[in-house]
Amino acid sequence: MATYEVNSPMTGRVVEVPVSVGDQVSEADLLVVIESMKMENEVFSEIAGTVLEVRVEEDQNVSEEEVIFVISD
Amino acid sequence: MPIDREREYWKPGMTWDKALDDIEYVRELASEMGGADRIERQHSGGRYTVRERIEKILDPGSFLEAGPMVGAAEFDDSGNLKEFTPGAYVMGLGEIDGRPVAIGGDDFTISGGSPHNVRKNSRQFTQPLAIQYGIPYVQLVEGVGHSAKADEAAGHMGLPDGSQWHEGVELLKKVPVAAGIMGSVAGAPAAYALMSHFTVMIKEQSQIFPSGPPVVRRAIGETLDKEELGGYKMHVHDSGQVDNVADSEEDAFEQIKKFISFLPNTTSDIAERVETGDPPDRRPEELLNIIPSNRKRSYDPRKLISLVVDNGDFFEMRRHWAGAVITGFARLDGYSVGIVGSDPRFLAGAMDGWAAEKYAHFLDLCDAFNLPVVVFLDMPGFMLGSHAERKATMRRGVRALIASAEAEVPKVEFNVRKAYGVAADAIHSLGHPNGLNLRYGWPAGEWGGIPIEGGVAAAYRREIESAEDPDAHREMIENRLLRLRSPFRAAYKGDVVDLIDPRDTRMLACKFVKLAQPMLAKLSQRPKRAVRP
Repeated sequence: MATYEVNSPMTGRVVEVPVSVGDQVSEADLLVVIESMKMENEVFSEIAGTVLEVRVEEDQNVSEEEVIFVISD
Repeated sequence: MPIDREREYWKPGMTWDKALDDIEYVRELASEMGGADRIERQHSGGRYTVRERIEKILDPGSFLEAGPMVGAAEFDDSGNLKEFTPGAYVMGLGEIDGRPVAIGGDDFTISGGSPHNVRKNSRQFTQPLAIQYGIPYVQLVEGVGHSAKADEAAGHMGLPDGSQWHEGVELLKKVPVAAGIMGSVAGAPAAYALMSHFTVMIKEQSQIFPSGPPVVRRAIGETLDKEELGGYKMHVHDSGQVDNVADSEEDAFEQIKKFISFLPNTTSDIAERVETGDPPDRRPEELLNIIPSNRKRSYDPRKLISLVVDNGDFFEMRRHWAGAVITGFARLDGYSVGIVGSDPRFLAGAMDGWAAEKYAHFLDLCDAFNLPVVVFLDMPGFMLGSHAERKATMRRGVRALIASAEAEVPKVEFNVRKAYGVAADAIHSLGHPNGLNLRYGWPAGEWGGIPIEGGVAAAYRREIESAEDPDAHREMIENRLLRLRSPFRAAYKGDVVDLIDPRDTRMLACKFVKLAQPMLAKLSQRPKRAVRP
């Protein structure tokens, strides 16, 4: 089992977090929507696995490159 | 075949048959490169030898080799061949899809491809010939550059004099140069590879750096393996040093061939039209609804581009780097074009320093090869925030602006959605203000000097702050301005040539490219500068 960190691709405000700790995600599943530059920017999982950590919640600001999820395969 | 030291070698006065035998014999020795063990090592590492590579990339039977007998030869007292090592470079002329090319590659089975005491390299034959004949130049690089052992053998450490690079720069001014980075490449071979109009490296097989891990460890104490230091993740995804990544050597060859296929033979020619069989008046129905009505949502910009261009055939360059701007080649009614697009899924399509650099470089490339440019713009402006500032976003953005202004190739621009501020100007300013500089708007088009949201907050700050309900007041002003954002208003003022049905995009782009051909022929006669990678 390897763990992967998901970094925020942009600085912005979290508007939606459709996954929770313990969820199984597949590749290309939506993990979070970050509003930035007037766009709702969707972040998709690049791997299939289990969500170990969710470090963001709705309405929270995130910085580019900040770790926002930890997923294990 | 080991060298036969007992063999009596041809000498003047002997028969011509004997001479031919010996020519055959030496060619055989040369074709064995660094020997069976080294070839086996190359193969077990999943890599082809340079001769196999050249055979695979060229049209069958088209290779005309230069200097197959060049090598380090030693003779005994009676003039018989005692030792022979072929030069670590294979080169010549050949054809790719029926087009002449000059090609060369390092032989990694000999001294790791490092130059040794035999003078056999691209500057002797392939580079000057590519320039003289006006044909594309392909280099398959797998060498590690200067060896400290060579210094010891020479008893002298030479002062780098720079003279070896001039031919490479000359090539960049005149003919398409494409490089396959085929393995671990360092030092001078790495620089040769990067002195190209197109570079491709192979996933988990190729690495490129000034110096590899042992030298890095010795110099700064950083301990990384070669893939971490100079593999595709570093250089195709993170640094943008190398244009494209390939899954295999075959994939790399295909990408090189594809790249060349869109370019003319020289910067003084225009690319040949190819019959693609895709009707110029085709109306892609899906374009009508490709832009979501919710302007905060994104869409697949590559699908948009594919729907417009001939047979959906779009060859992208620097796909994995500076993703907000898309650059690549395609055909419209068979004519070769450069494509510039926006990706709203990456940094919302905003231009950061890297995207500006990617745009400027691509534009220089199109200008050098007389390719008209087709733009699909959806750009909210410069990327904001500290990360973007660290990339000197505005200075590089200004550089993009200058690249646009200096480029003389005509463009057609489809403002598919957003176009805001100087970042959009950087792309809009391509094309002579009074020339063939066609600008169209889609119904989703929205543009301006600054987006309403941020613009109102800044310009009406005092008024908003002193209002009883600042948020409601801001919203009221925003709504007032929103009415101005309609692309119809801009169309009435002549900001665009026309406001169009997105399904007419292909038809209009094809018309433009055809109309631009005489101008391209004229532009092809301009002297060109080297495109800086």
